[in-house]
Amino acid sequence: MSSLPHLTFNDGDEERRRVYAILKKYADPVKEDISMVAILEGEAKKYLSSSAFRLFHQIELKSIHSEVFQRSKYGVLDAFSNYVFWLKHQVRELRVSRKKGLESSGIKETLLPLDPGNPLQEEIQLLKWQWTKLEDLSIGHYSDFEALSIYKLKLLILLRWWSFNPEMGFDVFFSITKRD
Amino acid sequence: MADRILMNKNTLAALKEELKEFNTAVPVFEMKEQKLKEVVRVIETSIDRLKQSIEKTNEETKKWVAVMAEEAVDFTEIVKVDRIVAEKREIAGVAIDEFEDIVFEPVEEDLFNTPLWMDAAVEVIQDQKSNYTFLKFEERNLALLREELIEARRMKNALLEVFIPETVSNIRKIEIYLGDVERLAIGCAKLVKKKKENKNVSV
Repeated sequence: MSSLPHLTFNDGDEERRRVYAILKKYADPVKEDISMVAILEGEAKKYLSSSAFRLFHQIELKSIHSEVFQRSKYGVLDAFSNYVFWLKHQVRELRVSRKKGLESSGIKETLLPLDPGNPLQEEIQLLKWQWTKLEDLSIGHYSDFEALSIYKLKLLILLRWWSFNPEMGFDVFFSITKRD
Repeated sequence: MADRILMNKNTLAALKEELKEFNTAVPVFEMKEQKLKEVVRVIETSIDRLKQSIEKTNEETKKWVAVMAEEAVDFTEIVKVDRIVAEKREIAGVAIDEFEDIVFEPVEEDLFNTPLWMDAAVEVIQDQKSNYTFLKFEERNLALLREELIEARRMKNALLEVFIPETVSNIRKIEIYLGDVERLAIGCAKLVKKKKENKNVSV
């Protein structure tokens, strides 16, 4: 665990290169375009039992709120899963209130301490809360399965943030608006 | 207009009738040209405004458009055009389709599983799609109206600079010719009369 790249909640080319460069050292040199998650999983597989690895492999941001994780025997996964589930509910409430035209009061109607901003700023805030939650949950876990799970979740959070690419995003926006 | 014309009274009458028609047509084409110029100007202004609006939306969206790079959402499935509402109109003889509205299929969003940014994205995509559709209609109409304007201007100029002057000139030529013929006939008649009188005196 200690030899894996230290993850901080930062965006930027340098940070991405640093994390990828360190992780790449663990990768099979034959596989050129291997993803960071795949490298991490490949490394984790060496140390985890098959059932633990199966669970580790299932960890995804888009499904972390599912029942499998909410009822997990691992306290970290259980707590984070429930937190994301709660967060998603709050976001849904916020979106419903915004759609009803209660945009200004939408945030007040939910329990979200969200600072109103543009969609990118709001999304980063949501990621930051999840990151902070993982930081809180990491206390007492240094080299166990839960520490590895936290590491993967943090990496997934960063990868999601890093996938927010202005040029690619504008290409998507431009092509969909110009399409007949 | 034919190069050779028949120098007779019938042709003269026909040319005079033609000139009358030409003179009636000139103000019609002038009015048409005027009307089309006004509409073209209005549409050009509308196009400028639409382009500015599109540019402004692009600039505003660029501040947060990075989120759209996320592969979580397939907008082609979410933002679908149901129908485009347009009204047929006729301006100075040109049939155009005037854009009224663009109706999108209702968005069935999963507010729990889709990201928060999706709502703003759908809204701005729909707005921008409306702008582009409106722009497309306006540009098509502008092309049609400009074409008609060129034609009206060409017709007006042809009447004023070719047809009317040529017809007036031909009328003048025929009138001079017919006048000469008439004078010649009178002269001949007088000569014949004089010869007859001289013959009678000598007998």
